[in-house]
Amino acid sequence: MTGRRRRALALAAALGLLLVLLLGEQAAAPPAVWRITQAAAGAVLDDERLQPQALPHRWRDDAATGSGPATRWYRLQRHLEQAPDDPQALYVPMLRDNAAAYLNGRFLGQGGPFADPVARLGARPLWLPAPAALWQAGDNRLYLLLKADPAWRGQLPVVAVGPESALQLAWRLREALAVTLPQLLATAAGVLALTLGVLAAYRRHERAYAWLALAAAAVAAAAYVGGVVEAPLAPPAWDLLAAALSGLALAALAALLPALASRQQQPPLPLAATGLLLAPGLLVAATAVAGPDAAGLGINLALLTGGLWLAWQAWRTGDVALLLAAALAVPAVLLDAARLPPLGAWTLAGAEPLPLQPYALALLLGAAAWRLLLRFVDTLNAVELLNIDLEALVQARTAELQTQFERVRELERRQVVADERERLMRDMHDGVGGHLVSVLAMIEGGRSEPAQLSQAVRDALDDMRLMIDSLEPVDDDLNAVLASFRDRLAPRLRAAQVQLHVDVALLPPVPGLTPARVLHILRMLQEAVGNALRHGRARTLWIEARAQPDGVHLSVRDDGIGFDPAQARPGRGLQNLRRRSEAVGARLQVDSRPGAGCRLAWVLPLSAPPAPP
Amino acid sequence: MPTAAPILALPPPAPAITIAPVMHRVLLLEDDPVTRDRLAGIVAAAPGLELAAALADVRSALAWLAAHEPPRVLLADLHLPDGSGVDVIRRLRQVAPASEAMVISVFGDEAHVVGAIEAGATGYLLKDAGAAEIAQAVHRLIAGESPISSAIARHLLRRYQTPAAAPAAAPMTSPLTGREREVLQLIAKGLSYQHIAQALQMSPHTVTTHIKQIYRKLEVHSRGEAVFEAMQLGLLPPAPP
Repeated sequence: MTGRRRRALALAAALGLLLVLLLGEQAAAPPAVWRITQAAAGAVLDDERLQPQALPHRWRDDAATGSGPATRWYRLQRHLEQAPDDPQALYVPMLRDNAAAYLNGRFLGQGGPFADPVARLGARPLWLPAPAALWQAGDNRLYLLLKADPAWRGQLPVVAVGPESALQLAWRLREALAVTLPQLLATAAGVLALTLGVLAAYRRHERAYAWLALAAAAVAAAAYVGGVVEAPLAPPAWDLLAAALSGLALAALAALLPALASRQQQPPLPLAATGLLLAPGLLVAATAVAGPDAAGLGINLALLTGGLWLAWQAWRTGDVALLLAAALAVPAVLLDAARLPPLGAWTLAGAEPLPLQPYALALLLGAAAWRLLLRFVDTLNAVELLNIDLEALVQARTAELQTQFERVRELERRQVVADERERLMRDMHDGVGGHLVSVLAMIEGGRSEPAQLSQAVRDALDDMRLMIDSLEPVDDDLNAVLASFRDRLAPRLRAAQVQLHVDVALLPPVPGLTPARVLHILRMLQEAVGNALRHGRARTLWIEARAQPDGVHLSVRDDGIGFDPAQARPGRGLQNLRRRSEAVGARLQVDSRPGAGCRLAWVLPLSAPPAPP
Repeated sequence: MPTAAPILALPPPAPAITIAPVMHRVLLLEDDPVTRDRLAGIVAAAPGLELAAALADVRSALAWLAAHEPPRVLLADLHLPDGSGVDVIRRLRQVAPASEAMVISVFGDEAHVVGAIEAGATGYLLKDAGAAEIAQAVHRLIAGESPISSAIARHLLRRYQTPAAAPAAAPMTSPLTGREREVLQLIAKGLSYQHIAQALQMSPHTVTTHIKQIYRKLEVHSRGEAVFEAMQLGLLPPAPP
């Protein structure tokens, strides 16, 4: 459906609804047959002094109407050929203030209490059953006592007297349209005010909710004040209160208008606050000076302005619901102003005009609530969409991070493998490679004994075993390293009939015992044992380890021929030993005397290891 | 230890030996001909040892075991052209639980040896060991010593960690008693049997008994695991209730 057609439909619907309302109003008028249009009226109950008076009668039209309370008597006559069998009733569509009725000298009933402040029926119809027994054949006299405060509010419109069955429909319709429906709308406004009040409390930065809550509360309160029959305050004060509440409702609605037009703007707070003070002030002043009817006219004027502005906005944006509300509200306000005091004249065909102002107010309030509700729903939807986007974003980021993490881990792994490979290459170059090269040289030189050759190959094999042992996970346990070494050494020494004494205490963990360091330690020990057996011709070996505060004291001692360290030529063996000791951060101490064996001792620090070589 | 009964059924010893000492038959399984010849020569020359056969692959070793009296000692290489020496060790332990098996290995590394130990081997020999070393090791094995290296002890400790120490990493329940575990821990630290005996306040003989018990449990345990795995794979019918 195009926007234009939707707008046209909304206008048509508004017109139709208005027509239904007016038709209802017409149907609520008393049937013409039962109307009484002529009466005699006067200030006191004295048949002689009652003057003929045509109905409807508005007291403000009389010259001597004051601004204080006033009472007036009406005498109506009904001629019956015979006494009726069915129950009769008196029906007045709208009295504004209070009335009591007497039939043939018997009290029929009254709208409310007559004591000050006098009851105000407002838009309520007056319905008094008149039992059939009270009627007589011939003339029947019906006296009505009216009281109004202030006097110019007083009026006696068309009065209908007839069978209950003939009048009941009109009365009930009028009651529904003038009382029940506006009460329902006011209740709805009260509920809206509560709901939005809660919303406003939690969404303080969105002032539109607070404005709407205020408007709804003011509308509900104004409807209550305007509709109450037995007001707790005397008329001038009560009327001022009603005017203030209406002004509050109007100002709050006005503050809402920007939010209704576009969905973003908020009215500047100072301006809105000024409006909140100004509008009730103006209406109160108008009521005080010219009476509630004048204030009502002002309200209608404000509603008309707002309604027109809203209609324009709705037409512009194509908001059908808003257009419907505005198109209903504007004619309702116009009708209300045209037909009710102070400007209004009586309606056609004797129908008492319904006050349409409550409807117009409720419509504008409803339009505002509708708009804000849409906005709220839009926000929720937007948040939901945003959440979905966010979730996808988070997932994407997580996957990205995962990939990066794995890449980094893979790089680290490769680095570790590369480092380890490099170390193994270096170790093999130093160990097995060197041994094999010297074996090759010995063979090619052709001067080597087989025993020398096999010793060289055995050295190569031994070194490879040391490398393999160094790869075993030892968890910084130097005892495990020494145990491995002893396991390797013991069978060889036993077969060579060399005594081995191992005295190793339980040692504390040595931090940073990496395979590289383990290999250095193992080669250190191997070198020491090899020297003792080969050069020192030892028959007994002692290996000892003790934990001391400055580190692990490790020693290899033999009972061989010994040598003089000062005169020893700097052989490769000793040089290698020193190099390896430095590499593990250990101090090497050589004690030997010719003929007194040799003792090599290290102190392995327990602190963090030096940077790997 | 009940000695293998069929000493009388042995092939007649060399006629040079008049007072027949107890000769322990040794089966050698090694695929490298040079190493095999060297080891065979060492065994043949060792006093008290007799080379029963020197074979080169799993199939012929299994066939030999089926046809002959089981040897007192099996020296087996593990990497053979047609399979693993572990299978031969396991078969030997089945047909002759009193026999002993040893792995011959180039490096004696734990990864290489532990599987064989769980199949029933009781230690290892390095292939380049000297003649005296090899003869000594075999005789000590026959005499009832059960050498266990510290590296293998550490490996077994890692494998049978207490559940509290590593609940997820050790699905296996430890078959070892607390005492056996203590012995293993001290071996892993490199203590001698004498020192272990002192530390645990037991006789050195008891330490040896514990070590033998550990070997037996590991073998039985691994055998049970093997059967369980075979049933899982559908190779064996489930046991009747």
